[in-house]
Amino acid sequence: MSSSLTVVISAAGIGSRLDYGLPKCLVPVLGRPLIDWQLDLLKDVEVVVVAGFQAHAVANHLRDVRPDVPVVMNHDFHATGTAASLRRGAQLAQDWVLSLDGDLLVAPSYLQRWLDGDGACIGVSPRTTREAVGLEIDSSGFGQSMGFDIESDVEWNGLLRMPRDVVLGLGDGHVFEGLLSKLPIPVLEGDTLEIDHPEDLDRAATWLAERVDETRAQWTP
Amino acid sequence: MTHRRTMFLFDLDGTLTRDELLPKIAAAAKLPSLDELTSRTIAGEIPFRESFRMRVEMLSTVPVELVAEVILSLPVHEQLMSWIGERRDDVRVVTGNVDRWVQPWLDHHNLVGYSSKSEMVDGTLRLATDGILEKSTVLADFVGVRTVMVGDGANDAQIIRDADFGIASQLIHAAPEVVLESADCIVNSEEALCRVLSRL
Repeated sequence: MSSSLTVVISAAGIGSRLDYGLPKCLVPVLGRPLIDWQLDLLKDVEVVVVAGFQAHAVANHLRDVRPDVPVVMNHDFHATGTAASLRRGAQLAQDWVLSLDGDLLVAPSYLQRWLDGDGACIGVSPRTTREAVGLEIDSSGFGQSMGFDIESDVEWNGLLRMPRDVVLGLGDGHVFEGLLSKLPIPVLEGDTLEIDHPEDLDRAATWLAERVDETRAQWTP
Repeated sequence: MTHRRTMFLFDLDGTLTRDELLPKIAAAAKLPSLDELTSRTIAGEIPFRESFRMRVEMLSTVPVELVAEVILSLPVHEQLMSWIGERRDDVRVVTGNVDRWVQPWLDHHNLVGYSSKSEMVDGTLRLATDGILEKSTVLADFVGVRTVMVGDGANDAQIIRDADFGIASQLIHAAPEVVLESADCIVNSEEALCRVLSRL
């Protein structure tokens, strides 16, 4: 691919429902911070992390594991929607942006399809969360509408691949609200797990254990 | 997307150079170590101004020629200096360090800089009254210009906050909390810094 892709990990939020006292991206799952499991799959990829809550802790952890990754600050993380973080990270991208939420575990083969693919795309996973943004998908695999009120057996998992300039124009509210005017967008379904509530931590440990070599704390190739 | 001209402002010690200047001067002149004073300053325990006056006083009798030798021998961040070399007109060095000490380095690298003012009194170097550079004041020279400031010390916090885009550099050491809180971006390596600068 001749155009560049930057993965923007939005990790600015407080994670109040989890109430762990750490930013969600640093919450340990199977003994490693969540973000480390994501970074394992992004080794040769350009990454930007957006931080806010306890940004110094995020920046100093990244100094150890991925010093090449810049940390962009969203100081208004308590007041702004998710689009504000994504926009600040996208500012440092060149052509394409892959948006990844800091609280999302993504199966390796699924994330690889995002890294290898082309064009605008939106990600869905089987619906599990209570506060889900549902997606209506047409027979050609395009997302036609999305929202909290959509009764669908898949939900938007937060993954999004878009040109940088489109991302910069998404406003400051929720990302999906900015996307509504961009639909229809091709959809890619896959295997993810979001960590939002305390009970998600146990689910995450089980989910991860099924997909990693526990003795080496690495994803199973 | 802004179409204003961009000026890139850089702190010197630990940002452009890979070592702090003053401890190296002390060592070269065989003076007592500044280590404790320096690390307590970096940790934010002693206010920069007070610490800086103390350090300048400790080094006030060192011949300026020896200082020039020392500063020119300091290793630099090569990739960063190379990036800067391609756009010297859009770069300024903004250092709280002493003008007489840093000028040889600026001349060698063909860069324009702002620094703290000194005077010679009976062969001894003294900081001028109100000579310590208040870095933020430099921004007054760039009204209508987009300013990017890169720094790593507590005395960079205000200008990092006031510039249009402030970058906290952790290339040599972790930056003090006040600097991280003031920044738009934190970089942990030269590679990350050069990439960010190229994208602004």
